[in-house]
Amino acid sequence: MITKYFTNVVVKFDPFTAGGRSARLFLARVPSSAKISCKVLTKTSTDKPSIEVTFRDKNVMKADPVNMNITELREYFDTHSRKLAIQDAIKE
Amino acid sequence: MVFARCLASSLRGGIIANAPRASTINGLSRVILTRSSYSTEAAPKAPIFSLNDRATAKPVLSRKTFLMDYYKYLNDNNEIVLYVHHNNIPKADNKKLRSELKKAGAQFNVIANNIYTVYLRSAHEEDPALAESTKKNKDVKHPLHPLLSGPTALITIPKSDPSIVAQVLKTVRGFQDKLFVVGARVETTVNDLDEINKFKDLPTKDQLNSQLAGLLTILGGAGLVRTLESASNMLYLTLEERRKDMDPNEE
Repeated sequence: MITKYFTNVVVKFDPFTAGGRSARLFLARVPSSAKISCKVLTKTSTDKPSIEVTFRDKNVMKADPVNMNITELREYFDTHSRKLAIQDAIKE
Repeated sequence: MVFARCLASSLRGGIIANAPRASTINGLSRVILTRSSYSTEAAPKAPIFSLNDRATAKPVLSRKTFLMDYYKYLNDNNEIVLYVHHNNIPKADNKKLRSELKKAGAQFNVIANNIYTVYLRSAHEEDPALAESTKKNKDVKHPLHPLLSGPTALITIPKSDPSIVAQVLKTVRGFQDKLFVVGARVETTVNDLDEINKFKDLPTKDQLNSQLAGLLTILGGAGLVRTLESASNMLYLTLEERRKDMDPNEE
């Protein structure tokens, strides 16, 4: 996963459900250079599990960890990261 | 690796005998140095198994068997186990975390998820590391299993004391998103974050016991004793009446 362009990551997940696995694996791959905030949900909480990534160009992408595994999440966020990487390469 | 093996053999050999003991493994004779200190308070119930007649799934002196034994030891000797997710903890923070937890009366252990999962499946067995237990419990779904994905660590607390839990949670909160609690086992129940937050505000078990005792002496006294006795008294009276009815010589 290209994590170089992440500036802000917001993760909400319930560790006891299916979404917990991909959310935690995703969190483990995000470097500490990005600002991470995460919320652990419980049975009673009303929030929906979600992953929200803000890129360097202020673009925000949202994903649902319940329906996506870590490979799918990686591909999803890489689509935008790759665009930024190409822009970087052109500038040089 | 060598350290783990030494520790493994001392853990296993700890209580069997306090004197140096010789055993033969794979034709090699090795002396297991045991220390009497293992049987003291620091390790009240170390899982002790013999090295010779133990049909473990992995070699007896392997790291995997050692870890299984160690996880059993941690789970059996701690009433509260908090499962935490750890994320990019720098070395200095790691050291700080461990010392702060130690001060609060807890211990931080990073676990190997796969081995811990295998342990959890046969956690109810006397010796989970046996090949037999692993095979038998292959399809067991443990309620704590969902917590074991990604970087996981255990915070073990020997006595179920809410004040220690409160202290530990405060320490963990200090690390913000590098470390957070995902679930817990308190005695025999599996708890999520909400339940843990409620648990930490409870008074300790001793306080509750003394409260209950106090309440009983104030409210109860004779009244409670009478209530508790009434069932047996009623039975006695009924039977006595019946006996009188049955017995013609009476009266």
